[in-house]
Parts: sequence; C-alpha cells; structure tokens
Amino acid sequence: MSENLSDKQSRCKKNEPGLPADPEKRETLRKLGALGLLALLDVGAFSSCGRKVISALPGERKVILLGLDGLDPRFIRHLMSQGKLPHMSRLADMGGFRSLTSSVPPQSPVAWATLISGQDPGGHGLYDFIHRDPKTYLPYLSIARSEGAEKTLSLGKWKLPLSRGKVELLRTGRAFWEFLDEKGIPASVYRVPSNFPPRDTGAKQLAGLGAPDLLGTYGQFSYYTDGPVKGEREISGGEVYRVSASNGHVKTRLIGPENTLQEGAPDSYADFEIWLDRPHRLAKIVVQDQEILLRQGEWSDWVPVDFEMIPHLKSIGGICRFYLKEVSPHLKLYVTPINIDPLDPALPVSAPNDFARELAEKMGRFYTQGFPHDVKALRYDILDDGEYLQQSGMAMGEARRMYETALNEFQRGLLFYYFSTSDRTQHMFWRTMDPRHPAHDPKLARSYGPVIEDCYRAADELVGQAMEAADADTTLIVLSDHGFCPYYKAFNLNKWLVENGYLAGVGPWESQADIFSNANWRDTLAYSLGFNALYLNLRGRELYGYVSAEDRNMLAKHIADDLRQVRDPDTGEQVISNVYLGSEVYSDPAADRVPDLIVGYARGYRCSDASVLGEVTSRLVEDNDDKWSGDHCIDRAAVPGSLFTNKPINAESPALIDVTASILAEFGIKTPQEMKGKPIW
Amino acid sequence: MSAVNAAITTAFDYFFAPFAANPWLGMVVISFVTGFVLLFIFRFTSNQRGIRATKDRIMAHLLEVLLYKDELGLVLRAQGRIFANNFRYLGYALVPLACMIIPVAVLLVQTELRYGHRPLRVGEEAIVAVKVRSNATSLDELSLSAPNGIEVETAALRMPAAKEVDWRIRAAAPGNHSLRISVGGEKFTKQVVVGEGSSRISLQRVGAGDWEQLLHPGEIPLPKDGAVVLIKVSYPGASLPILGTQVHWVWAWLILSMAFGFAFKGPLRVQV
Repeated sequence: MSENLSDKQSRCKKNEPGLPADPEKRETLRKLGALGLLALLDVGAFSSCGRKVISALPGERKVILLGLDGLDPRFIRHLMSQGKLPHMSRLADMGGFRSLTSSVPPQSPVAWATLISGQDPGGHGLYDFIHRDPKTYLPYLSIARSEGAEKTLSLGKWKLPLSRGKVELLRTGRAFWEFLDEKGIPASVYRVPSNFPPRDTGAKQLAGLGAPDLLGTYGQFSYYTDGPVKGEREISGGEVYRVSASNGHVKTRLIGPENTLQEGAPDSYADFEIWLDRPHRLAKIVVQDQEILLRQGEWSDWVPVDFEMIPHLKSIGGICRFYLKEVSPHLKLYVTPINIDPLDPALPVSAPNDFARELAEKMGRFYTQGFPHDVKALRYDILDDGEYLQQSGMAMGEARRMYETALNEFQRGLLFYYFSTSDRTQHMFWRTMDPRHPAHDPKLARSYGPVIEDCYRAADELVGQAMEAADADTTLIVLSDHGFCPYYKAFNLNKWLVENGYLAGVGPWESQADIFSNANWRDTLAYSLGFNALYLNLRGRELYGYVSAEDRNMLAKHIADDLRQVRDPDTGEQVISNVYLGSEVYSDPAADRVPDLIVGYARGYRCSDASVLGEVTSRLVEDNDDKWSGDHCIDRAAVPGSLFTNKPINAESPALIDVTASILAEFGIKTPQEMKGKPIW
Repeated sequence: MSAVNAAITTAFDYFFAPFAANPWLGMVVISFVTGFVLLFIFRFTSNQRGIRATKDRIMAHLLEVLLYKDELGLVLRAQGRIFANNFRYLGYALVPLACMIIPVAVLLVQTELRYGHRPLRVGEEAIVAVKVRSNATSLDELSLSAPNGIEVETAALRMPAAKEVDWRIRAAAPGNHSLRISVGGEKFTKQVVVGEGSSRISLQRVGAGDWEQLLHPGEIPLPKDGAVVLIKVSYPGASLPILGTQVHWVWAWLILSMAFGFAFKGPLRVQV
C-alpha cells in the first residue's frame, strides 16, 4: 500500500528529518567503500560470523515462530469448520488458537515492530507506514532512511564523496533475538518486516518489508510497449517506456539507480535490445552479455544487470526478471523492479552481510525487496489477475524453498520465518470473493473467487511443515499481525478536516489539491498524513505550529469526538468506530513522531490513498473500485490477528507484546523491564 | 589451417586428459609448463648479455642519482640515461616477445576451450544461434533437429536484420550431442555437451577461411561457401573455485605462470 509513497518520498527526500544516526550502523557503514551512496553500501565483501551449527542438547528448548501476515481468525474459523485447514485444526487441538490483539494502528510495519521489540510504538518508534517531518510537514517512509555523502568533491561532471553515506533502520529498541544472543542462543530471522537494514546482532537475518529495490523504492517495475496503455499518466510504482521496433529490432534501456557520483545525479542505465519475431510470438532479449529467448507468456529467470556509475571503474549490480506479455500485435514487456542481487548486495539486506549470498548460493537468486508481490502492476493493469498470480507465485515459491531449507537446517535456538503472500493476496483479491465490493466482477469471480481460500490452504501447508519439523522440545508459534476486512469505501480525512475548519487553505481546495501546496499552516489546527495518523499543528513542534500545548489535549479530544460522529452520506453508517489518543496509547507520547490521534476506521472503510499522501479530493466518501479491495488499516478491534501454538494458551486475549514475552520465557529469559507483555502459557 | 587446428587440439586433449577430474591441477600444470617454456624461449631468443649490461647501467645511473642528489645537472643527466636504457631494455624484449606470441596465443585459445565455459547441466537451457551468409537465404528455410538428450523448446526466432535464427534448447540427458541444422539442401551439425564437471567446449562453429577459426578450433569449420557461416551455443561461463569464491581461469594462469617463471629464472640463469 505504501508503494504509493515512493514518488512522493523522492520529491520530498531533501526534507527528510535529521534523526540520530545509529552507532552500530555507522560502524557497519564505516567499512563500506567510499563512492556514492550505493557505492558506499556495496557490502558484498563482508565476512560471515561463521557460527557453527550445533545440535540441541536433549531437553533444550527450541522455538519455531511462523509469521503469516494478515491471516484473519474469523476466516480461519470458517475454513476450519469446513475441514479445509487440517494442520491448523490439529495445532489448535494440540495447543491453542486465539484471536491476537494487534497494534494501534494495525499496520504491518507497526505490528511486526511491536512483536520484535515487545513494546508499543512509543518504544519502537514506528507509528505508521508513513511519518512526517514536523519541520517541513512532508512525509517519508517510516522504516528506514538512506542518506548520501554529506561532503563531496566536484571534478568536472563527477562528484566524488569525501564522507560516507548511510542507510539506517528507524526502528528503535532492542529486537527480542538480541536477548537470545546475549545468552548464546542462536537465532535465524527470515524476511521479517521492519528489519531493514538488519542490525548485526549475532542472529542470521534476511530483511523483509522495508527492504527497497535497487532504485531505493518499495518496487518500481518497468514496462516496454509499442501499444496503447490504459491510464498511463496515473500509473505509479512503475514506468512505462514507449519503444518502436525497426525491422523487428528494439533498442532501449533499463533505468537504474541515480548516479550520485555525477553532478545532478542522473539516472544510471543499462542498454538492452529486443529482437522480435511476431508471427512466431517470440522475442530475444539481449542485456549486456546475456541472451534470453522467451515465448509469449513466459518469464525469464533472474538476470543480473550492471549499472555503470564511473565508466570501467565503478558499477552497481542488480537483478530483474522479464515477462514477455505479448509480442503481437504489440510488444508488451514487463520487467520486475530491479532487486538487490543477493550474490553481490549493493545494500545490506542481511546480517551478517554474506548471509544473503549464502542463501543465494544454496537456492539461487531470489527477491530481496521487502514487497516482492507487484501489486502496482496489477492495480494499473500492466499485469492481469492471472499474470499477477504467476508473479506472486514465483515470489512465494522462492520464499517457500528458503523456508523448507531453513526448517531442514534448524537445530537449536529460534527460527523466525515470515510470509507476506497472505496479506498481499487478501489486499488484491477481496473483490473476487465479496459480491458487495464495488470492484466485484462476477465473471472474474468465477475464475479468481477461491484465490483467498487457496491462499489460506497454502498457509495451512506451511503450518503442517513447521509441525513436522517441531520435535518434542520445540515450541511452535504461528501468528498473524492483524486480520482483514473489506475495503468498500475510501474516506478523505483531510477533506473532512477542511470541511470542519481544522485544516485551512491558502486558496480554495480544488480537486486533487494537496496540503503541501495549499495549506495555510498559520491557521491550521490539524492535518493528516499516513493511513491512520492525525497530527495537531502544534506550536514548538510543527514549523508553523498554531495549537498551544495547553489546548492540545482538549482539541485532540474534541476532534476525536467529532470523528466518531462521522456518517457515510450515502448509507448513514458510522465511518470511524474508534479514535485513539497518542498520549494515552503510547509509552512515549512526547516524541515528535507520535501522532496525536490514531483514527480507527469501521469495517468496510479506510483512509483514501489520496488523503494518506496529503491530498484533498472533492468527495468525502467514495466507493473503492480499485483492485486493492481488502484492508486492515482500520480500528484494531475490527482486525485482530491469529495465534496458534502447540502448547495450551492460558491468556484469554493475548496481544502481540505477550508473544514476545512468551518466546523469551521459553528460553528462560525474564521479561525485560521495557517490555510490558506477559507470557501466554 | 583446419588440419593444424585439429592436430593442436588433439595434442592438448591428450595433455589435459589426466586432469579431467581436477581442473585446478590441470591449471597448475599448464601454468608450470607455460612459465617454463616461455622462460626457455626468452633465454634463447633474447640478447642475454645485452639485457644484463642494460640492467647494470640502469642500476648504475640509479646509484648516481642517489649519490649526487645535490648536483642537479648530474641527476638530470642520469635520469635521462635511465630513461634511454629503459627503452633499450624494452627493445631487447621485442624479439623474444615476437617469438612467444604464437605459442602463447595457441595456449590461450586451447585453455579457453577447456576452462572458459562448462557443459550444460541436465535441465539447463541455452540458445542456439545460426547466422546465414546472405539475405538471399530465406530464414524460413532453416530448421533445427535435435537428438534424444536435447529438447528444442521454441520455434525459430528469425532476425532478418542480423541474418540470424535462434532456438532455445534444453539439456535433457548427459552426453555429446549433435544438433542438425538444415537449410535448402545443405546440412550442418553442431556439438552440444551436456554433463557434470568440465569438458572441452566449442562455443562456436565458424566458417572455413574465416580468421575466427583460429579462435574456435574445437570443431571443424563450416564449408567455405555454405549457406551457414556461424553456429553458436550459449554455454554458461566457467570459473575456478578458490577460498569460497570463483576466479576466471586467466587470472589463475597469469599469476601461476609468472610465479613459476620467476621461480625458474635463477636455476636456468635467465636474465629477464
């Protein structure tokens, strides 16, 4: 969902906040090369900590933690009652199954950071997919931040860095596996969100959600065509390139990361050629010294591509896959976002740094971007439903092979493995199983109606594999961070703030105006950025703060009361079921990043994409006819997660922070003071 | 030319045969032979006395620079003589270098044949590219047939602008397979090697009379006036494993042969 932000973020990156640098990461970065941001982060040469695999002693406790993003407990119960989830049913009988209280707000980066740290967002510092800088009002992605070199030397068109750039994880607090490491207990942590770049703690970690593609976005596809493209101007999360074939031959280029070693940081690129045989529906793609021959409808394997930064001296490598969607009558070639090559990572996608390479040498190259499922390509009809499912299936296949290898190699300590497919699938295919959804198409429903159910069945198989791998000394925990709901209608929160006099404009709010260009900050009381966050324009915190500290609580409560009264003008339904005050639900309410209010939308409603990015649209509530049709960025009470364990659960209403305390307890570690959870057993 | 190529290739086949199971051992031995032979050639084709005298003069002028560093005129003159003697030294190397070019080229080509690429593994895919001599040959006429052990996965991809037709094949069984290409009434073959380990790999089959046959001696050249001028299989590149990483054979050969050369120059009393 926050892929939307890439464009906005790149526009705003000069205004990123100056948060304190993490000393551990600085030390890591100190070891890196000294040429440009990506050049700086060329970490392939780091050495492994080389821990030996030692089998567990008899009776020594082990924990397998399987994270399945977005599995909804109500849907699980429904399918279990039909006998469609045999492994989950068996696990529930063996131990326990409960709904799991999610975080406020129930967004994946927030929820997983809550589990990782055992603390609420006040402790781990992630409050939304998107944060804003109160000194500029501009949004930025909350999980990680990268910065180029501060000092550079200009030599003609070249700009050589004299200091080092950095990329840092903005999640604060200690991960629970750091406590295991202190006790000498090994941990392997795969693809877990809010963990990019992973800190070198002793655990083997592969980054998950938050890990960017080589361009620094959450995933930017490329699409080459000589035919028409529907809604081309509105496409985000990818670029469409117009090409024309001469004698069946196309010369074009793949766009790479910005070349920070050149003045103006132009895009780097790699030339490639396409040879077309339209009657035979074939194409040959020639990239650097590689040739790939594809039939229409085929995907290539991963193709390594080098982007030259300084000719013959410095280049940055990435990997991509080609999908030959059509050859005739038009060329339609989709290229995945250029991923960081795990065999030669340009950014630290793992800790230790050669862990990613170790994995790639065992099982081949794989998606390293945190969001491997290309939902943007589906939303903008670059890929159709079937093609998206192929792409998603490939990403899932890689993840599953890695999971199976991890289970086979698991000997002692902790194995924490995360899958995102269930979340992505429910976001994109809710419309095919819910006739009430505005984007429901009965024809599509016949083909793709069972996709979500199939996804739960696939998750059940993963649970079965974990159960098989768990011996008598192993505690198995399977959980999701939140559940799922339909996303029928989009609510423009900033529009509501305008209509109710909280957000003032310099001029009239034209259609699609945004708060960055039209807000009159000196008269604004509140504004919204992110999926659930609402901020007061606080004096001393915001650049043009208007609300005094004395009025802060009163105003926040007043807005909260008003928001609870909002009704859908079409149906009269309550749009917002709960509004939380940051000062009440977070342990560190004074931090600048803390939203003053967290808006909990009622089932079926969500903040509109436009409002998330600060736009004010003409309508307050609109039907959501997008393929992005299911969601969870609503009131946490409406989307609890799911929790299974192979031990009976005593807690009636366990929460994410309780799971963290429980894992530590399994290893005989007392719950640290900063964690508020209690063991569930 | 073809007969010479074939003879040399056969000789190298015999040379490398004992090391088929251990490519590193083969690389050490060929580097040893290279270092030794090139040193030997250098010994008998160079002016050893002249090289020694030139090196002595360079050393003398270096000492002159050190001893008389306060006398600018002397230092400048000495530096000029160092420069001139360096040229003389390079001049002495020209004749032996000329004598070494051919054996070194042969050696590089033959080693590349065995170390540059590896056989296709079962299940791996490759592209077969066929180039025709002239635009008069219709690309539609070209056909490819493969024996058991090789699957042809695609129809022909025709590229008139490049006078080329490609197919994608997949290795199904180990062995030395022979692809058959037909155009008009003419028939051509191309070897495809499938298997584990390393082997002699002929990347391209080129036309007779074409100078490129010097670089691709692994198969007999295509007929001089035939419709097809090149048949190529895109084998994966090969490398030598070392300390958990991979190195191209040229680096291993360069370092090892130089090391052996320097090791022998004393016992063989060679001035280099």
